[in-house]
Amino acid sequence: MEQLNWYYPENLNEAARLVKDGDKAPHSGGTALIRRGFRGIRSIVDLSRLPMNGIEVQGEKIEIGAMCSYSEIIHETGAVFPGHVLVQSLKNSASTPLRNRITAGGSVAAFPAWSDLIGPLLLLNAKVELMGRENGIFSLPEYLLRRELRAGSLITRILMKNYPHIGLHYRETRTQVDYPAFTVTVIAAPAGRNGVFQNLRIAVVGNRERFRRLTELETALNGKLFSHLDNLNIDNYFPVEFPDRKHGSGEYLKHAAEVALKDMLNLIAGGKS
Amino acid sequence: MKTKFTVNGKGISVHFSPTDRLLDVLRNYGFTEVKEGCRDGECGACVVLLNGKLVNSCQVLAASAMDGNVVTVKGLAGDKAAPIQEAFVDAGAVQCGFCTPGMVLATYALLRENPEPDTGEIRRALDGNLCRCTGYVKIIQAVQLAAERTKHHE
Repeated sequence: MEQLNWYYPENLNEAARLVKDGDKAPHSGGTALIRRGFRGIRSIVDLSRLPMNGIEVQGEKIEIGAMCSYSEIIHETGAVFPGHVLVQSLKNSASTPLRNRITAGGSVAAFPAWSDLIGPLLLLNAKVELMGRENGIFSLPEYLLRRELRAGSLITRILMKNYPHIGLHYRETRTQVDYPAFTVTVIAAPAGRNGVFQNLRIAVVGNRERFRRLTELETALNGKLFSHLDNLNIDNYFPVEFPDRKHGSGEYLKHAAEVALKDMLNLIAGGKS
Repeated sequence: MKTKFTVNGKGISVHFSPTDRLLDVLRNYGFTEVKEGCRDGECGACVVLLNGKLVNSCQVLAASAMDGNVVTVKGLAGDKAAPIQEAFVDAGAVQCGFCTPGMVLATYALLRENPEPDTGEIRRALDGNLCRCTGYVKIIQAVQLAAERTKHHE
């Protein structure tokens, strides 16, 4: 095996300088590097000593340090807002010992098809703060779609607005500890406001395009009475295709995702979460 | 590479290669109570407490745990672990015993944070630990028993 060097930056500037050239792999402690393997990697930058592990939940604002583990997000966010969609999604993700290691920044940067984090972040209009080759704040979709943003830059924080919401998160798995074939995430303003869908947002992750907001369906339902759901053919608003996976064919997964989405919308219409 | 770990309260100097996993380093240095199961982060046989957090040592690169404080199941010996270990025996929650170190550590980590967990909380806390012998009914009963005894122990 070729020589592999580890670097242990003590501050963000040093870390940003190290990753800038794009020839060193950042490692935030999660499982992505082990799963990927070390082929082609000659240097690793360990991020564990950097001050990026705080979470601030204040009023309408949530800021998550890139090194926050899933467990910390569940604990800190859940303490303020137990029904938060991030809590709903991450508490069923992976397992307890893995949730203690997987970090928010690493998870966004690696963005595996089975991600339980991306759906909620998309719905909360999350932004990522980058340091390195790119410096600044970028929308999550922009970060995920523009490869050049990911190479040579570190995520230091994930920023989002906090909306009062009902949050639902569905994972298509064969067993509880399985990787999901896809996830569907829905948030909406709390029920009870005249039986009307308000601030409804829907995201699918793990499809052919990797992720998709169902904005046409959101538009078709927002401001409408819950009963409008009975007459709406969701198939017409579900332009999402899936690849064949171990969990089932693409056709099956599309059907499963539609069924899950209908159930979630019915739950919101019924005022339950 | 060379570093120091604190394992079960004692400092040890270790040598390892840059891609070695914490599991392998621990076992190479004699901590064979840390079991190797799936090497994929799914079975929980290899869990340890790393800087106080329950982690799969097979999913931790040793180089990323430099200077870390590791506790294996043997490091729990004494009054803190005794009620948990006894509860597993008394509840009949041990068969082949391969998963038991991980189960005991997961139980310890749970009860430290949440001394009176309900069944759902126990299931969630042990969701990273698989047992292929007994099923989970007796394991959950053991955790409930341990919680009861730990409460009285304090």
